[in-house]
Amino acid sequence: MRAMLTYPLQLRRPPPALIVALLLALLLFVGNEWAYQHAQDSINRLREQNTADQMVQLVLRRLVDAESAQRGYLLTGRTDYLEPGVDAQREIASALLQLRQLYSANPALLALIDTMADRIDEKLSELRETIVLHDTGRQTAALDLVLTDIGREKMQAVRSAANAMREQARALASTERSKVIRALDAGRLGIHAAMMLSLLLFIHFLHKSAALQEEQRSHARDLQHERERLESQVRERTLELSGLNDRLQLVREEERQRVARVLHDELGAILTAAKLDLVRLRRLLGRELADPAVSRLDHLASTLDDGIRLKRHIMEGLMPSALHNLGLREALEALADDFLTRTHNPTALELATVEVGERYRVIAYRWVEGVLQHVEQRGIATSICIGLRTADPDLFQVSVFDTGLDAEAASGALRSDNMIGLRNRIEAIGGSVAVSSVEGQGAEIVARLPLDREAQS
Amino acid sequence: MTPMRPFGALMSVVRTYIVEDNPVILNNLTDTLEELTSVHVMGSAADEMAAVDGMRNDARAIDLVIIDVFLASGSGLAVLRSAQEMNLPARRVVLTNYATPDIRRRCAALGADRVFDKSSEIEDLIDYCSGIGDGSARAPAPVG
Repeated sequence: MRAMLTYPLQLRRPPPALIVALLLALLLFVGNEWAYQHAQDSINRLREQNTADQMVQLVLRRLVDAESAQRGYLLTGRTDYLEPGVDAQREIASALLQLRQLYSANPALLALIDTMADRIDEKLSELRETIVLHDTGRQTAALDLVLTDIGREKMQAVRSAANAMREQARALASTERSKVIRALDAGRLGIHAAMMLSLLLFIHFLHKSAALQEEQRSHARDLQHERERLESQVRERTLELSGLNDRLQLVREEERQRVARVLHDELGAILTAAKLDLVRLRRLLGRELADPAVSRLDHLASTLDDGIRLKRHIMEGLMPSALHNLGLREALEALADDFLTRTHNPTALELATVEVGERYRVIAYRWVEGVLQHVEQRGIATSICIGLRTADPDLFQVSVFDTGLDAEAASGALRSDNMIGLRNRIEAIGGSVAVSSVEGQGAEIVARLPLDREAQS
Repeated sequence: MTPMRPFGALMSVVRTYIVEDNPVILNNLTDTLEELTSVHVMGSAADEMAAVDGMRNDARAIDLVIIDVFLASGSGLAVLRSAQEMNLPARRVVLTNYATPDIRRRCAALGADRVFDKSSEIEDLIDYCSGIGDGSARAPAPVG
């Protein structure tokens, strides 16, 4: 239904080329038919010409026959010689009738036919006269009449009238022939014209088709440009976001370091000063202290120790000092220790001594820390193995193998914002992250980072 | 808790040079040591360069150097090394917030007599200083 509705709408403004083609076809059709009709008419008329000519010759022959009949009768006196003459007259009459019918539309020729008919009548009356003379017993007068030239003259008159007519008829025929030739010419020209027009039309179509193709190519190029532009935008955005992520991570680490530093320097100093005061207090008051006071001081000491421990714990959480002072391996050992203490999961270590540049130790450390956090949150009892080794000439690898993970759970561990950010950072510095699993045995989450040898502290 | 020394008992002054960048700790430590022991703090420095200069200039006037590992600039370990290299006659001890076995090993290798954890071994430091004062301190101390 929809197609039918749109179709006529499309035809509402047909392309001009279509109109020209239709006109051309019409022209060819009409022209051809017209030429054909004309030619046919003319050929029919030619045939009529032919018939007319034959009629005239027939008339003449019959006249001669009539003359011969007369002559025969006059010679022999036998009536059977007259019969051909009678027939002849009849035929002449019908021939003349046919001639008149043939040229009914042509007054000039009709006039000539009348002239000829008159001459024929005269001749025939001359013949009749002689026969009458013979029949009335005046044979001699009849023969005399024959001997005069009247008969011959009359015959001659008929012949010239006939010739005049035939000349005119031939002229007509020649006209008709020219008409045929003109009609054929017209047809021929029409066809040539049609052919030229078709050729022009075809060239026009080729041109249009080429233009269409060019338009399509240009359109495809535009699309390609657009796609390239969008792709380059996407690349830019990705770079921007990746850079942003990097900076955010850096800022976070720096912030942590700053807080750790404040804790260490200022809070640490305050707590140490408090402890010193306590030592002095104890020594000053020493023996003079009653038991409740002594236990109060002891309690104060232990509270201060708790404070110091807490400070240390917070600092290590923010900025593991082992990482900075001793190295990645020692920091991972401490991490494993912590993990074991909290979760009681068996924690194995396969740590090689790898010299990692300062900058990237933190990232590797945070990576392992993140994975362990996820494992701890899941709360399933498993056994863990933390690995550190070199990989390739310029990379090192940290890995956490967990017997309780499968491939899907391992991938899930990498989906938190923290891990995604770390992963981006790792990939931005030229490292990579991978998950591998063995059916039923567990999965391993691996991060590879550059060793950053030149920048090592 | 160690028993107090009797008032008036003769103790030689322990001339002490403290390398510590945190003024709160420096002041408190000075007060505490001077009150509870025969230490007399004759000088201090907050960074490596000043410490090395100070030690060099007063080499003969120093009995004890107390060095914090983390300084404003430079490192306490480097100060230790410099003291070792200049064959400083004074004893050197290290005060640190982070006394792991590895740190202790390294400090000992650099000529430190003892390593004290700032948070848990303050009393031990005081005892040690007292020990120097009354001549009972061992030298050198074993690696803790």
